[in-house]
Amino acid sequence: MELTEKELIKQCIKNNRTAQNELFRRYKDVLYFTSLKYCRTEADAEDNLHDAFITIFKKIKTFKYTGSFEGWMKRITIYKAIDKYKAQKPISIEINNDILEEGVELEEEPEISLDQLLKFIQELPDQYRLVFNLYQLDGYSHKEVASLLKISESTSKSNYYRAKVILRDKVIRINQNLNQKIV
Amino acid sequence: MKLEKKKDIGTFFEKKLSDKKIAPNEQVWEKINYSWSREMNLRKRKLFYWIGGVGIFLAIGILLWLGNYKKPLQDSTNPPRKTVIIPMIEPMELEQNMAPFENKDVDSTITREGIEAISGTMRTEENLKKSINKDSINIIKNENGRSKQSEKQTHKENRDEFFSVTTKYYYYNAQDGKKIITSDKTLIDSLLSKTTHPLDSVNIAKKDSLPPLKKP
Repeated sequence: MELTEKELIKQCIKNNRTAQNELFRRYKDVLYFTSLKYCRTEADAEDNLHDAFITIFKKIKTFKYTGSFEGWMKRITIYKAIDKYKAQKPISIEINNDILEEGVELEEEPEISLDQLLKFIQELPDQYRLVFNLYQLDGYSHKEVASLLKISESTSKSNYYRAKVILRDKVIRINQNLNQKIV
Repeated sequence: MKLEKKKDIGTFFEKKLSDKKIAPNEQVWEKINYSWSREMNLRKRKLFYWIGGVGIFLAIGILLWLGNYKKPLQDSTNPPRKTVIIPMIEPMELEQNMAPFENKDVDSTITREGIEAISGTMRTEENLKKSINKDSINIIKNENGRSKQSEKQTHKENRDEFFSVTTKYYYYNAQDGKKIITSDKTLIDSLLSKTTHPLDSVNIAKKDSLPPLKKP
């Protein structure tokens, strides 16, 4: 008989290895996908998943059943990726450019696989990738992104715009290649 | 296929990547399992070290506390010992018709001078005892800088245990050779009161009658 989420959490707090295994089995796919979005390579994503679960097992007793448990675990996974980025981040000087408010659009919706889209995101510069994922894919505001990454709000907006430009160019290029192949 | 409306690239990615899952490598769980076991062992070891450290700290604290607790008691119960030399006053020289002293150090005669000498010795010893008490109080005062009566008494009592100043009374009867060394003064007094000198005549007796012993 499968345990409910609450019972599973209680057993994990008691350090029940079976319950911890079950928790991993239920949520590994979601959290691994999240790690793939935020990390550069698959190896980094696996390391991030490993670190995230260790932190989850340590801090599971602090979960207060307010909000989604999956969302709580996702946040831990994201923060682990951000911490790793901060540790490796070189010293950079921010240049305040004018923020371009205009949208970055596609004329046509290309048929691109999930792996290819993930690869495009992974190829973005680190800060652009984090800003794009946090703002666009995980629903953080620019203020929250700025706070997490210790940058200004304008830098966050600028990074988001530049990330979209790069992604659009890549999508168009791959789409053109696909069309040429078809032709 | 062309869209009537252009789509934002961000929205396009959001749509394509929402609620997607990808399975990780199976070795990831083994790594997590191994790391978590190490973490648990490390926690146990930390707990053990913490308990050990607290135990050692408490033991040292208790030992220090006991050491400090015992030290003042020792100081009060073992005051510095001083050797008090009580000078023995030699009995006065005998008159010619009186029995000579056999041992100057120990015995005394039943002569008047002898009795006075004994009394004088007793008095002197008691005075010395009093002076010793006074001196000791002063010494203690100087040492501790305290002058409370209760402490004086306590010090006196403690001192009396170790300053063993005893008054000994020596009695010697030349006629029967009886020697008594005692600290009981009443015994000596009773013996002295019994002993009387032989009288030559009534007149002489009157003249030579011994005055009653003065109490010290």
